[in-house]
Parts: sequence; structure tokens; C-alpha cells
Amino acid sequence: MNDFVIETKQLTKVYGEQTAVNSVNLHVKKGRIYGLLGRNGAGKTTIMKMILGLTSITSGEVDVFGKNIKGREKRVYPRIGAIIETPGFYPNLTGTENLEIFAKLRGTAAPHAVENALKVVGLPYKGKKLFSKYSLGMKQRLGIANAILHDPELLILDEPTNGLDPIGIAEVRDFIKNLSVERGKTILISSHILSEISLLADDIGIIDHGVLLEESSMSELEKKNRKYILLQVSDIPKASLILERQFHLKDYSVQDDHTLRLYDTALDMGEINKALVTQNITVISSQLCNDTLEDYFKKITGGEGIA
Amino acid sequence: MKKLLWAERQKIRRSNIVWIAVFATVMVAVIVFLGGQEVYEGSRNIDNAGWYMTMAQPWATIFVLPAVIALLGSYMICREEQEDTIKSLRLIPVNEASLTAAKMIVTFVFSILLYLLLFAITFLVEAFLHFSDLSVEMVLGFLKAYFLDGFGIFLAISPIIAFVSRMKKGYWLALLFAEIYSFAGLFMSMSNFTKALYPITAVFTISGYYDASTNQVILSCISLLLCCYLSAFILKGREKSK
Repeated sequence: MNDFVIETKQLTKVYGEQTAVNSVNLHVKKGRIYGLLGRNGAGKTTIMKMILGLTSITSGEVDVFGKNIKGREKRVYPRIGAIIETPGFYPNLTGTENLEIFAKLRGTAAPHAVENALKVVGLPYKGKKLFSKYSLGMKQRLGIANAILHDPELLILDEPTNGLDPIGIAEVRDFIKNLSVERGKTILISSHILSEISLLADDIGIIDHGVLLEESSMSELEKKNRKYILLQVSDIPKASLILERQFHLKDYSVQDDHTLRLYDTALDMGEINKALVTQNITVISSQLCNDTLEDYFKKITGGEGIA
Repeated sequence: MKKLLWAERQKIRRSNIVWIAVFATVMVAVIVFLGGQEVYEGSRNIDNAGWYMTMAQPWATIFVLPAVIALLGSYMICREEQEDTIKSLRLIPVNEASLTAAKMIVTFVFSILLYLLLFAITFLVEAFLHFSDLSVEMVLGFLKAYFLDGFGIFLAISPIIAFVSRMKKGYWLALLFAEIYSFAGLFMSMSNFTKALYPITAVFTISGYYDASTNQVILSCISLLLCCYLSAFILKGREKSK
């Protein structure tokens, strides 16, 4: 039994000739926020729809709460809250009336569930405004309120901050973070905004053209993107030995046959160069580098950056 | 099912289509009333007891009510896809067959209520004009006829609601199809056999608007039951195609 709330195995979706999602292996851990990052049309929504059973799976498997989802696995739905694309509500009803319908159909027993959900997202309870008169931001907030109405263990949020103003984005971000930190909810969130994911997610999956290019924890990713000294030498094993023994260095990584990354940027490079040259190791180059998350995204997607 | 029926009732609050249907019912009553001003053998038609309640039935049924009831029914089903609420309902999860059944039940109730509204208008006008000429038996007879009209018209148009819901091309098509379908009843009423067979006019055979033999009533019942079966078949196919 693993502790993945969501696990996909070779998940694939093909629309006619076009492969929207290609052999994706996604791992969402319990109690963590997983950010699915990719450009518009990268396949984020399709993955979420397949996890929720809203679209059929061409091939591969999806496990949610350890249960294999085949088609629409209705038993797991009460444990999930979701917002996919633009949330749909009845335009002739108010926000409260809309949520009351969904609460009743869900059989939400908690008293004041609607009132609490609206309060969390900052919408008025028993407000007179009809959904048809809502701004995009208000619609999005109501969608989030509907997703959390029944206090689910897992939240699947597809671009939840779409249409929100900067203050609204910050509020929603804090609220999502709180759900994870204080209430132990597992959250799968998608976005095409890199800064949003970097501020929110514990784990990150980078998707491009339907392919999951990278999946790692945010701390690992930050490690990859922090300041470092790029050292190119002729003999890596010998150089590593010198760095460890002579300079007591442990925080470094081997990139390839000739390249090392030293994460302690306070090192005296003059001394290091001298020690290496003395041991007949050729120092090809040494330079201070600082990759941003965007640089990393560009690098692995092999294209342009992201917002 | 109780929850679904409650939800469906909530969903049509402030809905323009409901007001369109009520307005259409009132308008048909007004038009028939104006038609009743015509003088025949020295008196206005409207002054004859029972004339208004009798004539409002075919006018409403051939020209107006089937179309608005079909519009309402298909709107209730199609809106879930068009307003993208079906996604949220599927995640609850809601049984879609039960959801459709709840919508059909609400449409059925609505059909009866519209005919009863028409009955109420025509009765009140007749009572105002010549209360003393109306007998309890006559009024109850008309009440029964209107109730059966509402009941039967829902069955007659249910295949159109089901068909339009399956087509997913917009619920306004239901209005068009039902209008053509009900208007054709005018021609079907010209023969005793076709008027008992054709679903729209079969309603009149059952409600008592036509003087009909037992065989004609049976034929009309079969015709309406076939409509009911056909709509169930189409809706079942719709669920399967999902």
C-alpha cells in the first residue's frame, strides 16, 4: 500500500489523430499540494478529467485512494471536490441557491455547510445577485466553494485562480495552502502560471504537449535551481575525492563526465583550482550560475518560457 | 428521487421560459375570448354557457401549449449540458437516468398546471359572464377534460422532448417540432380513425372533447402509450450514448 492519493500509470488520451496525453505517470502524495504546470493546451485539464472520470481513458490506469478507476468510479466521488475549467451553475439562481442545490443532492449533512463554504471564498451568504450577473472572479470563487462544500479529502482544482484579480489570487492561494497545512487535504492544482505553482506546490509536475517531462518535489527543484558553481574538470572521480577530503564538501552533484555543481557558493575557488591543478586535474572552467524556475522550465520544455 | 424533484423545482425559479409558458396560456385565453365576440344566431358565442371552456381546449392544444411544454421539458434537460452544470452533477454523482426522469416528471406536472391555469381563466370568465347558467356537473366535466388534456399532451409530446435532448442542438428546436406536430392535428382530426390514432388529437378522444366510441378511446390510449414508450426508448439510447 503506497501513500499516493492519485497515481496514474501510462495514462494516455487520444482524440482522433491527436495524442492529448501521452503515457503520463503522475504521483500525488497524501496531504501535499501537487502543482501540474504547463502551457495552455498542454494536457492538464484532460489529465484531471480522466482522473475524475469525466472523459474516457484511451489507455493506462488511474488509481485514486488506492482504487483503480475504470470509467466513473462513483464510490470515490464523495471524497473528492473538483473544479474543472469554468465552473457551471444555474444562471437564474443566486450563489447560495446554487450551492444549496448541490449540497442537497450530495446529501451534505453539516449544518451551515453552504454558509461556511461561501465565507471561506469571500462571497455573501444569501446574497441577492444572480449567478448570471457574477464576474468571472466571483464565478471562480463559487466554483471553489462548491468544491469544498462537502469537506472532501482530495481537491482537484483546474486553474482555480483564472479570472481573479491579484488580491483574489493571493487570497485563494492562502486558502488553498491552509487547506493543505491545517486540514491535511491533498490538492492537485493545475496552472499555466509558474509563479503561482512555485508559491503553492509541495510537488510539481511539468507537462508539455501531453508528456510529463518532470516530476519532483519543489525543494528538489529549488535545489536544482539555486545558485551554484559550475565546475568543469578532466577527471570527475579524482576531483570529487579532493573536494570531499580536502575541502570537506558534501553539497555537490555530478552532472556528467566532466561537470560538477558545487552548491556552496562561498567556497574559495582559487584554492580549489590550485588544489585540483596540483593533483594534475585540468580545470576547464568554473563559473557562478543561478537558474530560475523559468529557466528550468524553458530548458526542459525546450521552448519559450511561461507566465 | 425526492431530492432530484426538489432540485428541479429550485432550478426553474425565475426562469424566463416558465413565464413565457404562462404568458402563452393567458394569451391563448385572450384570443379565444376575442373570437367569442362573434355573433352567431343573434348572440355572441361567448355568452353561451360552456362555449369558452370548450373552445379554449382545441385552440390551446393545436396552436400553443404542446410547443411551450415541449420547450420547457427540453430546456430543462438540455440546459445541464449547455450551462455546463452536468459536470458538477456527475461528480456528486447523480444518476443521470433518475435526473432525466425527475425532469420529465416536472414537465408532466407543469403540463397539467398549464391546462389547469387555462381552465381557471376560462371558468372565471364564464362565471363572471353567466354564473347562473353553469352547473356543477358541467364545470367538473371541464375540469376533468382539462386535467386529461394536460396529462395526454405531455405523453404526446414526450418523444419530441426526448429527441431534442438527444440531438443536443438547442432546446428551441422542440418548440418548432412541437408546433408542426400539434398543428398537423388539425388535419388529422378530419377522419375518425386518424383523430383517434394521432397522439395530439387522441388526447381529445380521451379527455372527452370528442364524442368517441370505446374502440377509439382504446386506440387513443395505445397511441399515447406508444409515445411514452418511444420517449423512454430515445432517452435510454441517450444515456447509453454517453
